[in-house]
Amino acid sequence: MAAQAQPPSLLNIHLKLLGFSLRSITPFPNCPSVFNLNGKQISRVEVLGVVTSRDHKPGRFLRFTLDDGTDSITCVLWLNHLTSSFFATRQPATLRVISDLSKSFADDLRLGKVARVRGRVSIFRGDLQVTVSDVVIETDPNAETLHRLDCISLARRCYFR
Amino acid sequence: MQGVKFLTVSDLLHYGYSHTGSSTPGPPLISDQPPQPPSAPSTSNPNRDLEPLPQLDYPAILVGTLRLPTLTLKCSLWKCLQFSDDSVTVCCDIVGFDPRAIGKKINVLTWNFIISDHLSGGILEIVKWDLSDSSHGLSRCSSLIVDSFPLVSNLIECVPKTSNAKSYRIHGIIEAVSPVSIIPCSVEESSSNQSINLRGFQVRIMTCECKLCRYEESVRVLFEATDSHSFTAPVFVYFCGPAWCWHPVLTKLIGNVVTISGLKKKLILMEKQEPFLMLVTADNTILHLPRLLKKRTVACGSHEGTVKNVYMQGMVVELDEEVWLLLTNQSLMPSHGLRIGAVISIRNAHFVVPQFSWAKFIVLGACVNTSIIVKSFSPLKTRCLIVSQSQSQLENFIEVLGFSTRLWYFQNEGLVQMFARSHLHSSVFRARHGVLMEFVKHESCCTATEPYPGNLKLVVPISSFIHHCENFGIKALLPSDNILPVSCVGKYYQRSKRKVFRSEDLGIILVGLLKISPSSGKLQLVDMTDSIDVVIPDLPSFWDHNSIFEVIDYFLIVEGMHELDLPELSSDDSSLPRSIFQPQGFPSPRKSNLKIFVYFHLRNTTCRNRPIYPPIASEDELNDTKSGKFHLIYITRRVRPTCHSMKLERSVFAEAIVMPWYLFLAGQDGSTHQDKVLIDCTVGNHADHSSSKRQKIDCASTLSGTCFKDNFCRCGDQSCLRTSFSHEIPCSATIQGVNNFIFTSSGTLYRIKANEKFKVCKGRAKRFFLAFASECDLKYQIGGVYLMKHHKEGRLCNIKNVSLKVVTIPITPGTYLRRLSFSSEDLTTDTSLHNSSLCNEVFMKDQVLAVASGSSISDIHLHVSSSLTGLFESDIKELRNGKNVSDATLGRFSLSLGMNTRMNANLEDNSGLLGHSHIFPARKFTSLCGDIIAVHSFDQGSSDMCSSRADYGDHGQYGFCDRTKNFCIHVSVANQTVKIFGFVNQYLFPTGFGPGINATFHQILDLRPRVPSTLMLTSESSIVINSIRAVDETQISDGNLKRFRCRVVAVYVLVLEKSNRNCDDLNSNMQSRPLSVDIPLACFILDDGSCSWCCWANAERAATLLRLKEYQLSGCEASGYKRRLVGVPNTTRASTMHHLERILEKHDRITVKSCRSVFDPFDQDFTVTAGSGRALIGLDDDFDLVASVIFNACINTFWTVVTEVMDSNAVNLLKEHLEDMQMPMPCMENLWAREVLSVNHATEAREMLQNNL
Repeated sequence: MAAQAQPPSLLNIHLKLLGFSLRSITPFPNCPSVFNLNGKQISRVEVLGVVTSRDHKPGRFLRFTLDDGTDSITCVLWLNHLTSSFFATRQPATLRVISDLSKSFADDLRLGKVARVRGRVSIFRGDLQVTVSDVVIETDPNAETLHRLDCISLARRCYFR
Repeated sequence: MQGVKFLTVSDLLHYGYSHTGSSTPGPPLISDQPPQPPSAPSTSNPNRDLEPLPQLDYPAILVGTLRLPTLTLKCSLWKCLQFSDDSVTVCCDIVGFDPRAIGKKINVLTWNFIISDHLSGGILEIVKWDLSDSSHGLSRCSSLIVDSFPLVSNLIECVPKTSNAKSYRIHGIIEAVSPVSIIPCSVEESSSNQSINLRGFQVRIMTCECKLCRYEESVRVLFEATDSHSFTAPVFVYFCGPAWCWHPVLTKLIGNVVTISGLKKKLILMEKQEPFLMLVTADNTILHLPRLLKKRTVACGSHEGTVKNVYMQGMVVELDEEVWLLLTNQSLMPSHGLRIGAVISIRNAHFVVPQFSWAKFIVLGACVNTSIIVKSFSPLKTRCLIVSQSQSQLENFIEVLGFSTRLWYFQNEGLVQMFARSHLHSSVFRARHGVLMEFVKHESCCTATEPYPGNLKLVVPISSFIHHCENFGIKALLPSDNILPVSCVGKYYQRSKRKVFRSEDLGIILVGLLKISPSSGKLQLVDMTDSIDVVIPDLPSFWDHNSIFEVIDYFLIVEGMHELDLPELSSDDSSLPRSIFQPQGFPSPRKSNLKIFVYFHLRNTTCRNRPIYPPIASEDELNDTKSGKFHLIYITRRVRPTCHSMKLERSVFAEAIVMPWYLFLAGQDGSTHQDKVLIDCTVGNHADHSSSKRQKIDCASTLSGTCFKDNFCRCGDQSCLRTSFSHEIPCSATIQGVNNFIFTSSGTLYRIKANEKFKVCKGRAKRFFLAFASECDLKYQIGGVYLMKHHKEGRLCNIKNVSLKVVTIPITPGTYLRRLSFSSEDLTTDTSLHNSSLCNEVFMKDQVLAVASGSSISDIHLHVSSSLTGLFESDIKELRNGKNVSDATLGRFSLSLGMNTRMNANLEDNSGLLGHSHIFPARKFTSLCGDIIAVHSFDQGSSDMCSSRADYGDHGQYGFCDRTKNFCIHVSVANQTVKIFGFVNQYLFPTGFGPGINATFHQILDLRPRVPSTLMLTSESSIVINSIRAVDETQISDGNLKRFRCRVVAVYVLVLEKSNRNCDDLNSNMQSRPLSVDIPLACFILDDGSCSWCCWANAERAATLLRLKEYQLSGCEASGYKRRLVGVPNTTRASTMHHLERILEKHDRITVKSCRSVFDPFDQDFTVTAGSGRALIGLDDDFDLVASVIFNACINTFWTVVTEVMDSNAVNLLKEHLEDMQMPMPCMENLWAREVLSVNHATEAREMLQNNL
């Protein structure tokens, strides 16, 4: 397998990062969807934090911030799957399901909730933001602790080696 | 005692059955210890049917006298206590023994009576008793009363005689009691010198040398001063003459403090040792015992355990807690009460912990010091132990072995003894010196800590080996429900699983004869007990069927499926010692779905019966081989006639082509020798060893001229002979005969010119059929070159009408047919074991066991000049490819590398004979070499297969039997998978056939292009195994397991099927409910933050990852699917499973394929196909549900997934699956999910902190 022979790429992995680490990444020149973390190419992250603000535009998007204690991360959850031309290449039926799911995510993302978010990193108006792919509302307070430990462990073992 | 019946021994004998009786009604009290029946007998243990002794249905008492042993009673032990009443005397044993009961009338209140023909009626086991004369005062509370027992008088309480001779007294602890032995001696009597046998036994007593003991204090004083004694000085007392009958008493008193007075000192001379001072009993010897017996701790080895089983006529006793007692010492003869279920106490045994690789247990070795006492009688209806006194050669031999070695030699006399003697190092043998000597000089005769012979391996009967392998194999295959299924013609089939074990891991040596099974036609290793299929790559065409081979280095291959009818295995069943000593019957019934075979090279075996069968070549064989002319024939294929029955006893044919070559061997100058290796009795291909004696080519060339004249000139026109041969190639031949006798001969190879009319024989066909009497004889390899001897009167050389289409030559046991191989002088060995890189490509990373090894294995090996070997090879190549048509193609790829295709015109010509006229009118036959990925049989009558059959036409016309089976073989050839179908007799498949091998299929029907990628086995086909893959299972078992905490990112492939299982109880717990949807295969992309994998899963594990067992389906709710669930009860509605059941009810099967990204949960698009082949589109509600299920799987927290790395075979299967689905293989590591567990955040976090992240 080609993948086994090469050093594992992090490009398609959802890196578990704390807010302050996420702040440190820089976009690759001419490739705005790929970022540099300690010389490694990354594009996707998983972050976990308390929802501290939300800006809801029904039918368009929900912009919210997650605070994990180290920094606040801006996240955007698109809600325009059925109307935007951006999703024109997607299957309409799948989009319908995704649209419904996104609406339910938006409903779940209340202020003060602890959310686990996976998504792509992007730059919007010079600011770093995470384009949300999926959201899990964590109800177990231990999930936060475990996430922080995971972030530290992965940073030591993998991201910053 | 009202209502209690008084019985006599005659009454017990009259009952005629073993029973238990008691004076009190109710369940019998078996002993004064709690009864300990053997713990939970295993399912395979024949003792599982053990019943308790039947109880007399009325209260009863036996009254009789307890007596010391006599020689008059019929008992093989001669040392049993006796119980007699007025009528009869029987052997007895007693718990709670008190010496004062001897000679007294006792009331037996509870007893077992075991009937035995070997004894005088039976044995009475006295469990509870009291003295009839209660006034005698056997109360146990009275201490410091010392009783005295004169040893020689029959009257216990008579006054001992006084003697003038100096007598001695000892006070000490009885440590050991020897068995009773007989010393022949002559006693001078007044009348005449008479030779009598002196019966006696020795007792080792640890005595005290304190002042009290040295001076003549009263016996009572000695017993009173318990604290002043120090029992450290060993003293041997010989109880001889009339005192011998006290043996059972002294045995029961081991560990007790006694005083013996009236002893005499004697100087004993034993062998050539120094004279030894010993105390001997005399007429006035008295045994003094305190009434309250106090046992001291015995320093020597002591063990107490329950008898679980008795094997080998009582020589091996299995106790609980994996303790094995060896009672090979014939003089020891334990009590009859040593029955299954009894609790016994063993004193002074040797504790040996053998370091066998295959089992862990303790061996208790009994020697002359050892005493065995029954502490509690068995409540079970088991036979009493009768040890035969006759000692065979083998038993004598066993006696000289160390204990750990001794355990394994209870097999047939002769072979075993010889084998053992040749195998064991001299250090394990111990000289024997007789009971007297060994008892006194115990340390030197029998070391307590014997050296363990490190090279010791286990030889077991084949039946035991098979039984062990079945248990071993089944355990290894047990988790096989968790293996990748194989998909074929739209259905999923369970895949059989193979495990390969090395002999060193098993630690067992196999010994047996090599025979071909008359029932299966397969080569087997056979002993008296059973047989096991074997694969021997270097098996010559002929071998001595009487040779006993010792196979040390081998591979054991076990193959089975999870559908195996698995018995409930307990740890008991898999115990190797038990399976050896408790054979399952000869031969044991095999587990039908478990295939077991052994792979080894004959050259690595050792022939162990050379002294019996000396390695000489038979006269006939020498005459046949050492000189003469030989035809060279090339075997092209096997042909089976139309089968009318399943019997193997029908003729089979091999098509052969006569090559334009002759071999002449000049026997008179060829040297015959016994290969040096034979001195070591080693068998093998000795081509290498014979090089030193190889004839020089020059010499051979000279010789060949003479031979040429002598042999060919007379046969034909002399003038044209030389011109008829295009080549004369001098050579030397190494011939391996029967009995592995190697001899060499010089000779010449002649090649006839092309289109030459010259004939050596009167008439000869170019192509003919060898007719074998049965399938068993057909061991000749397709593509092999063989020698047939030229005989003027021979069938091959006298075919009158060569125009006859079909020529058959019957092969009888006397027919000379030998496999030929070549090498040039430059070569020393044949290394072309497996030269096809194609054949190895899949199994490259694993160890490959070569099976069909081309030219390396032969009966006759020719060494020819290197420049001329090419000529011969090109002739063979021409024969092979003579009828080749253009290379076969398979889809876009050429298969020319792996396949040879030819139109079988000749078969049509010859088919009249074989009953195949008009069978294959326009079909192509092909040879194919590839790696077998999977083999499965089709369900009979399955609709899928019916359609397939329709494509192939009526299979009846191909000449198949009705009782054949439907098989489909998935073969990887040149990076693609082809399927070979067949409705064939199982005998077609050689031993070892199965997944993980590389094989060549000869004469298979090419159904392409009509049916893509498909070929077909016919009754004409034959399969040759090239190699068997051997994965080191020890690595797989644990080392390759990986454990991740990860999340599902995407679902790459998902197959859902309607389940046949019904779950009526919809309100039952979702977690415990069986899956109502089958998931034969699913592929998840998992991500743990540092890496991502393709994780393949099925069944429960796939369902867990899909979150199908959870009530809430956020995706389903969100998609609005719930709108359609009005009227469905809430609990049911909530379950995703229920929705899936509903849509599978409609579609039977749903296949979901990812057609977009696999790295982003919400960037997935899908192609969903129903079982009918119809694609579900976005407008369909069912599509919504399936999409929801997949998205729902991705919106999760963590799973802990235990995975194993997939072997090359499994990866190939996946490739095949995905090719069928027209999907690429993802560029990630493939793992197979063994276990999926939910994650507890707190626990995980704590562990991370404890492990310092």
